[in-house]
Amino acid sequence: MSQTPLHAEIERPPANRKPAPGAALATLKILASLKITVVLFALSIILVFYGTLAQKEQDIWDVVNEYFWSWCVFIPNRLTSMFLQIFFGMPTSFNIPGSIPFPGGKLIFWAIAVNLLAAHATRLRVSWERSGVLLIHGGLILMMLGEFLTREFAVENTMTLITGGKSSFVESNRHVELAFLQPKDSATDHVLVVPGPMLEAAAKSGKPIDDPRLPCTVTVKQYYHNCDLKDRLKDEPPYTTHGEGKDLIMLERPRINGVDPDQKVNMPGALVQLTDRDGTDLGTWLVSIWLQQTRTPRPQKLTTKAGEQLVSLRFQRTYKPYTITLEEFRHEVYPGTTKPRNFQSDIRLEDPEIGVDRPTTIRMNEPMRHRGETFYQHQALAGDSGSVLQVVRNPGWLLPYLSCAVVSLGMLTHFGINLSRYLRRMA
Amino acid sequence: MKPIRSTLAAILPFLLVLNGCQGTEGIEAYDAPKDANLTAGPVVPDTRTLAAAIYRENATWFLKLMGPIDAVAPLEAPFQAVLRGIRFAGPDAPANWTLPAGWKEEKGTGFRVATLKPPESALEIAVTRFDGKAGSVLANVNRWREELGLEALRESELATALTSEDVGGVAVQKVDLTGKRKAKSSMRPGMPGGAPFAAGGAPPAARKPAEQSAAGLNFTLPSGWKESAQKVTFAARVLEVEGSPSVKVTFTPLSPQGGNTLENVNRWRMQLGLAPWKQDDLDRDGTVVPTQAGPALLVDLEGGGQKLLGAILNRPDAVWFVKLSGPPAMASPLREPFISLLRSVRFD
Repeated sequence: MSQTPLHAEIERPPANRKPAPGAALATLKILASLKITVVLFALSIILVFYGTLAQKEQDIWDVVNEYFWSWCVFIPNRLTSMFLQIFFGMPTSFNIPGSIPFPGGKLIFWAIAVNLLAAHATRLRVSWERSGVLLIHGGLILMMLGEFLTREFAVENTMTLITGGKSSFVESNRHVELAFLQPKDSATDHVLVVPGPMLEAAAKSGKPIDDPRLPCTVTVKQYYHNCDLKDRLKDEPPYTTHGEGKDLIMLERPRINGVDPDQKVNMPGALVQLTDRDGTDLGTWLVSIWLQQTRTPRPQKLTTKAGEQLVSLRFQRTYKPYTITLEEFRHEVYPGTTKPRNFQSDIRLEDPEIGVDRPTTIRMNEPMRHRGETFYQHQALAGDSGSVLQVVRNPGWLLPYLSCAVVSLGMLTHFGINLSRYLRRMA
Repeated sequence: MKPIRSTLAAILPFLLVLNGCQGTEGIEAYDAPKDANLTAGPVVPDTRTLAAAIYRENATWFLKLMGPIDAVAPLEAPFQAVLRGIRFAGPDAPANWTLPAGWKEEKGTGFRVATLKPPESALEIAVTRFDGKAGSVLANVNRWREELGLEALRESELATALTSEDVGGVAVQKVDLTGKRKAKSSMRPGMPGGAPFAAGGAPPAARKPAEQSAAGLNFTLPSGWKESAQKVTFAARVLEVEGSPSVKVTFTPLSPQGGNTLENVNRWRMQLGLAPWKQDDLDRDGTVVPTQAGPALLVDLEGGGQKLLGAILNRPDAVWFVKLSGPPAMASPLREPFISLLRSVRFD
């Protein structure tokens, strides 16, 4: 009389399958339990809930790494306290100390994958009648695979262009690097970069970064994920002995969080002690993204035995085989308002390796595609003096659409089959 | 065993792919073209701004002439003449000026006091007036620079861009800038932007970080001092001093964007009816007090029958203002206990 529920379909014992003998099958059957499925879904919901709450205090990418792309996460009870304070009127003094260990997204993902595959191995048989269920499960696996590909292989960067200027590199504003640039010839620099995580680790351990390729040894005395620079008062002791930092002080700021309406990116800074290869003290230097971004870019000159270097902390760069020149940037507004109607970058793309040299236009909702990357109009520089393009490569971009389509088709098939069965019975 | 084998076969590619993709980052060396994007094509300046700021005790006056370079050139001499003819009858009196021959004056509205229009030119000199201190000189110079697409200056670089002139006993700060005028963008990069004016009056209201910072504030009370139940703001804490009922000590956290140190000290000076300080005054008369949470800048001010000991402590999430105020006779002896209180300030 009634439609067969999805889970009842799954639970039905296989009719034609020969039982696999022994402990392995017994283990698989345990792993395939629907009770485990329900528990895992419940854990997923709780994880998503706390991951969302955590964005009140943390950057969205930190939350993704800590909660969803980890095996285990320690959820601070502070989040529960905060939730109770905001939604249930608990006093601000109400604070539950400590944290609770909880399975991370990676662990839950794998547990669901094993649970699902075990169910297929032990309970589900391949037949037209079950094609809908198989499609739904296949779509879910495809969806997880899409997330995996995006996580591992998708790259989002930006390219900043001043009107009339050109660029052949993109930057990631989630990662920084300490760069030493030594002029090689009139057009080229020899570049040595120390990645941000290495600076952070060196600041924690107190051990210097000593690599023979570097022009000097780097001891990180302080590393701030997010900082602010202020002009130093005259009676405050100088913060550094060399470079731009002599007139500045560096103040630590909280890392940006997922709900911050103002600052969109962390602006790291570090205080580094540099020592020449022969042991000569080269002094303490302040390096910060701020020096590169909002003031006149100030490469700090450092004289070492290996020659003159320019030292800076900058967003991580990736150089490309093509060059983009911003010929004109247009910012149009609706008449009589300041509401943007169109942001448009007229560019010239030059890629000598594959013989490309063409003008093109990138505007809102009209990206350019080149070498597997998509270039979106992202932002305008202050005073419309230039343009920022978002450069995205995501080999798994199609999978979410495909998986949704497969799941939808699976659901339609499953309910269609059940409907026709029901109608046959009614006839 | 077939189901088990097929299950393993399905899982294995996932395991292999998952564990093989997390690379490690290390030091890298490569050759790269010089930063071509910084060598932008030559920007041909097309706009010139002649501007001046006059800081009076209770108001700030601005004069500004902006336009195409060629059109501004013949108006430079009249602009300077207007500027040099400005007079104030008293500290609170409005500005008076002499109009060049052939020019017309139109009365302004709002902040604009007047518009001075030259003959045979579409340009004009705008005269504006704001109550109090409308931002620091640096903030205003950088505002004018931004309009022309020029980089912001630092305090130490200000002298190179600014000319100070004494006009009838009043200091006039002048700039002469050329650049390429751009329309204001409403789509800014993900960096903190600048307001048209730096915070000149009261700092903006405390925000959540300040409240969080307040939760961790701790200090040791000097003998005879006690914490009051009185609340000024959500995050502020108030102390009372035994035997000195007219003296009040407050701890107030504000957002780190709440103006710079000099502007906040001048806010206190204004409350006491004192003339604003310049940076040199603050450098000379301010004292750095080491607290357990970092150095605090202490100022000792007296005016209008009140004494004010104020300390400013910059924290990553908030700026803390610690203030003792009261009649000089009661407040002066409390300087040493106040400093010992400051030294004990910490954040747990």
